[in-house]
Amino acid sequence: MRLGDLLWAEAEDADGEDLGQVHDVRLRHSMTPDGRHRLVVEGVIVGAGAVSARMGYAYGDVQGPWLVARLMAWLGRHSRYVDWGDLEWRRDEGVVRVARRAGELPHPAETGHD
Amino acid sequence: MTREHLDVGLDLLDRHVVDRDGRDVGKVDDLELTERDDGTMEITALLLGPQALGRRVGGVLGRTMEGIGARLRRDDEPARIGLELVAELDVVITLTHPISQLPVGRSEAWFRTHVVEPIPGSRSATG
Amino acid sequence: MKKLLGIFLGVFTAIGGFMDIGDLVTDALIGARFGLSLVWVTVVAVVGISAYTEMAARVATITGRPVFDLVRERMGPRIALGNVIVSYFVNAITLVAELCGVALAIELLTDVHYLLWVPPVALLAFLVLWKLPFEHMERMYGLTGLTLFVFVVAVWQLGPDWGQMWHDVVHPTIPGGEGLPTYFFYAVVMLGAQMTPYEVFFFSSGAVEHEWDEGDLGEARWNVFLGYPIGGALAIGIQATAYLVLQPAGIQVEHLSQTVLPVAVAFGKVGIALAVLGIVAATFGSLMETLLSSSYTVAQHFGWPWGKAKAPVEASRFTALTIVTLLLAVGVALTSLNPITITIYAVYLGAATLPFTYVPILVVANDRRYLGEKVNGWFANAFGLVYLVVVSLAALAALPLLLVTKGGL
Repeated sequence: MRLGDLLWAEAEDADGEDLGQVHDVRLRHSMTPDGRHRLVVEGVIVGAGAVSARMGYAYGDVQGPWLVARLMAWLGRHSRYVDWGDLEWRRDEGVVRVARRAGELPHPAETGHD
Repeated sequence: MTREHLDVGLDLLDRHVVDRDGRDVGKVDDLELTERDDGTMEITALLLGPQALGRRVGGVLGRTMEGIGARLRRDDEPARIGLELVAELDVVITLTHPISQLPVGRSEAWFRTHVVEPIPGSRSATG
Repeated sequence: MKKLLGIFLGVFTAIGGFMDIGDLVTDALIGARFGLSLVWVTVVAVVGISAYTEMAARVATITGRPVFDLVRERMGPRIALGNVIVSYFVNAITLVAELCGVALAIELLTDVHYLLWVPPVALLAFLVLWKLPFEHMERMYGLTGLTLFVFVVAVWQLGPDWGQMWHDVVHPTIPGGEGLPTYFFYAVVMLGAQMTPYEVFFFSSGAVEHEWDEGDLGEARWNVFLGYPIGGALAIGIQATAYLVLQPAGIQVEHLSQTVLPVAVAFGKVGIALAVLGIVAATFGSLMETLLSSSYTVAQHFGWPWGKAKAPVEASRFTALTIVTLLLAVGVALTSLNPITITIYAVYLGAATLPFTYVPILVVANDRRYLGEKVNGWFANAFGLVYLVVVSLAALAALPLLLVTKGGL
């Protein structure tokens, strides 16, 4: 399975509402006892504003120029974070089914991305 | 220094990969996902090369890239570097071994042997 | 003393950004047709390219990686791949123009047809790539290119009415017989000639080839803030000589010899010799820069080992691509398409694609993950944003202007 197949999958919420596309995947990093990296998928980020997310504005470390940052944040305002446990990835259809409603999902910036 | 939470698009995909000695290996063109028995999903390998990148780019161009890659490698699967071969995950991804010991770098080697080496003076650095 | 020499040589490299065949042709062409009415574009271009090259240099010295390397990380594979394809294409066409430019300049000295010079010049380029150290390559054309100052001195020699000249610079007028769209078409052409994309790629890749680090940022800034204005002054000098000699006589620039004509009027044979020598050197230097830039962008996008300073076997795909690009350029040049036309189109395409070059630089220069505290301050961002708007407007206007003016007729 490739991560590239998960990206851009169409997401819909429990009511069948369109949530946009998956445009990023959040991982939790840890080290195993024998010193190897471990990357576990924690959740996905869905919603409009992929361009701004990609460039690191929506929730990354790019903050300037001020005007552009404001614009990008505005474009990314519909982004939502979905926990991996709350979704079902239908690979063949290229669709992600979320078990929650759009309103219940937090904005990625609220989820403590360090 | 790796942070506890990483976003694949921002922190991992398209990053530059170098070997233990700092030699350029390539870019993270895609990532291999494996589902564990308990239902968790993990990244298990870095995928490099036109076969991986082509699929992400998509369209006619992407499929052409995949085709070229498959023909060059004589393999349907892209070049794969297991996560156990990753030493550091940072602005640049560093591997645990030199490139000669890794399953990558075949096209660079091919061009070296067949195109560049035969030209006289190809081994000297100009500085 | 060595440090001083180092700074001066870097400055000469920056000057070269205003002295490639595209600049030489457009400066003379525009001076002959529009007098000094487009000098303001040169001023705008100098400020713009200085701002962006400084950002690219800052990124290169602090991260140790050139800007294009980071474009893919920031803009995603599809946009970045599109960017690479466009950049390679524009660079390749520019390369053909530079190759023909060197050959044409040698023709001026030797009276031997320029096409016969194309293969030897390409061979020389290959040898320089293969054998000559990076720094020597830069110095070579930097020092010999200084002879181009004969154009500036020629302005004095031609004894102009300085008051009139100043008036014409600050009160741009469109000469009778020229339309407004044509005026703006050439404004875009000049902007493209002077804010050439390959210049930024080359500077930032060169900084990495030199292994510059944060301590060298000061020197890099000197190169930029001293070199580009001097280069701009040279460009204005060429426009001025054309304005003084060609425009009153109604001579249009259709051949490189007309670029040199004003210097001939001012200084006779000595002037021609110096000017042509300078053109050969500067254009050859730009040939190397463009050639390397085309390979740099592709190699950096795919993560291949790259670098002129490395032994060729250490960067085989990069080397192979460079050789193939050079051979393709020779092939296209030998089809004997009009080199002046190729030059104008190369420059024009460069202008149309400027936003592709500059947007990622602005984004990366603001990313704390790469630059930490050294991200753009509000000053750099203000300039960066203004220029982004400027080059975007130019890019958007490029195609309509091309169609309306039928290529600047």
